[in-house]
Amino acid sequence: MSDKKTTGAGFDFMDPWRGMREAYMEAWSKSMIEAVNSDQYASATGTMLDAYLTASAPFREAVEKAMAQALEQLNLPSRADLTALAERLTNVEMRIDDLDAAMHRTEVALGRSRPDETERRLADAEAALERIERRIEQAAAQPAFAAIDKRLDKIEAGLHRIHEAGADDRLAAVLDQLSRLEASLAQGAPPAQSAGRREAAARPEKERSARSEKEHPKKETAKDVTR
Amino acid sequence: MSPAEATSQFAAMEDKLKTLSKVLTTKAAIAQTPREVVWTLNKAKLYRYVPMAPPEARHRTPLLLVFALMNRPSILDLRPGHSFVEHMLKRGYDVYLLDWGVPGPEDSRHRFEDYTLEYMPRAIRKLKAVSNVEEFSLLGWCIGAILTTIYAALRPDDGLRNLLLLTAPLDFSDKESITFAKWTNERYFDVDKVLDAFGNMPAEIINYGAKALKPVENYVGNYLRLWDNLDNPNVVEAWHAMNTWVTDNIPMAGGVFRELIVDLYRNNKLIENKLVIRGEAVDLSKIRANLLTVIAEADHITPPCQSGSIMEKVGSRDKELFRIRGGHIGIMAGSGAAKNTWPHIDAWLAPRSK
Repeated sequence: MSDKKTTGAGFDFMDPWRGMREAYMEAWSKSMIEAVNSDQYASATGTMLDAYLTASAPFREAVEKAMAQALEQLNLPSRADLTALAERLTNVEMRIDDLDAAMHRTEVALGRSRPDETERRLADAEAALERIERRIEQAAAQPAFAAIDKRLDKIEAGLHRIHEAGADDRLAAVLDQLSRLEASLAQGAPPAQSAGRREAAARPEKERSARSEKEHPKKETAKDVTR
Repeated sequence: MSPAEATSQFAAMEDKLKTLSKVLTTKAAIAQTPREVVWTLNKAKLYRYVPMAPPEARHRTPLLLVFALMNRPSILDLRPGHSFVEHMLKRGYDVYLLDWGVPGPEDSRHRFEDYTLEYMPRAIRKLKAVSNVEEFSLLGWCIGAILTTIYAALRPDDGLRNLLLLTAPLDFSDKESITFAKWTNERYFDVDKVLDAFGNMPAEIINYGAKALKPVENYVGNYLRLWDNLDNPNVVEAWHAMNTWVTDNIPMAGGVFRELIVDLYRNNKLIENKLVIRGEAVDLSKIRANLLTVIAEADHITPPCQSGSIMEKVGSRDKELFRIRGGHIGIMAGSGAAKNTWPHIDAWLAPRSK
């Protein structure tokens, strides 16, 4: 296609009668539309088509017959054979399509399909998490939460100091003692303990039980069991 | 005229003749919008177009386009920058196209029931599975509108949310206004004799019939318009694309052609609720989908009198009749389509596709 665009009025052999053409084209068109919309035109075209079909029918039938015989002689399938085969193929295709759809429904029922749906739900969950995170951040920025934050820092520092002082080891020793005591009580024998350790273990125990009895005089506490 | 002017004008004439030769002897690149085949059955194919709008701007309800049986559906996607498909994709629709393909001798017994109860439900089933939706919109144009109307009446609970009928030949009662009805009158036209001879209705006869409705425009005026605009690349490009589509006709399955002539053109069974498809009456009052009917006021193939009466027959509560200036093809593929028809379809469909 040419991209060249002429700017002036170039020579055109239709120019001299273009004006006349425009003037008569519409009238010509209207009269032709009326002509083709008439019963006479319908009758004429129908007659022509009918004549053609009638005249060509014997030749067409002869060709079809000869072709069918030739194909049969050559042991080749005829047009009718192939048409029947193609129709069967379409039916098979429809059944495969139905099976495909049934399999899809089964997959959906089993929840193994619909990746788009899963993707969408995951995206929703992610968005919800982001919203929660944003709200926590916003809340944390408020003064009340800042105070709690400071206190938590203090507690954390205290725990760290206890850990540094070796309190963990002492607590472990106490727990070890307690478990041995429990075992010996279960067997009905007194626990094997050194006097120093027994004293050290009993002292805080006594203090605790005295304090507990003072606070809850009628309640049996865990110390009874451990003793 | 000086020799230099004469030389220049002869060069211009040579360019025009080269352009004319190229346009008349080659095919333009049409139907260029990227798409993928998602389903096939026999010759039919279901295409899904690649989305163009960002995800947040897309509509949830997909749109299925169904065109006529005797022309290629590429008219819906004529050329880049002037394509209904492209227009709808840019506005966020999930667009599918059902292409019927070219029927062979083995398809000569295909009838309305095959298209509306075998092909369409399966294609729609696939569409719903691919897009993961239960509802969809259906746009039928010309014979495609007959098929979509029958389908909508027979399968009202299949998830059809919006039905768009473009230049739909549904009412054949006014036989004086319908030229095809005169030509196919049983006094002049023996449909069985034609189909016995050819099996399917030949594309050449259909093409002749369509062009003969307006013989001066189609056989003379069309070429004069090209000649007058050979130095205008935009007009030449549009003409070339349209001519490529117009000259690429396909035959119509014999069974459905017989039903079209006998049941519709002669006996007007569809609009009178007398059409029976596989033992089931096609009752138009069962159509409940939102309905937009588009009528082309200068349509010579489907005169306006054929499309309006459906509005009173359907059971839809949300319905609109839209009349627009233009011809049968021009309203969707002409130069004014992008300014008038397409925006109206989008404006009607968008709020109903959420």
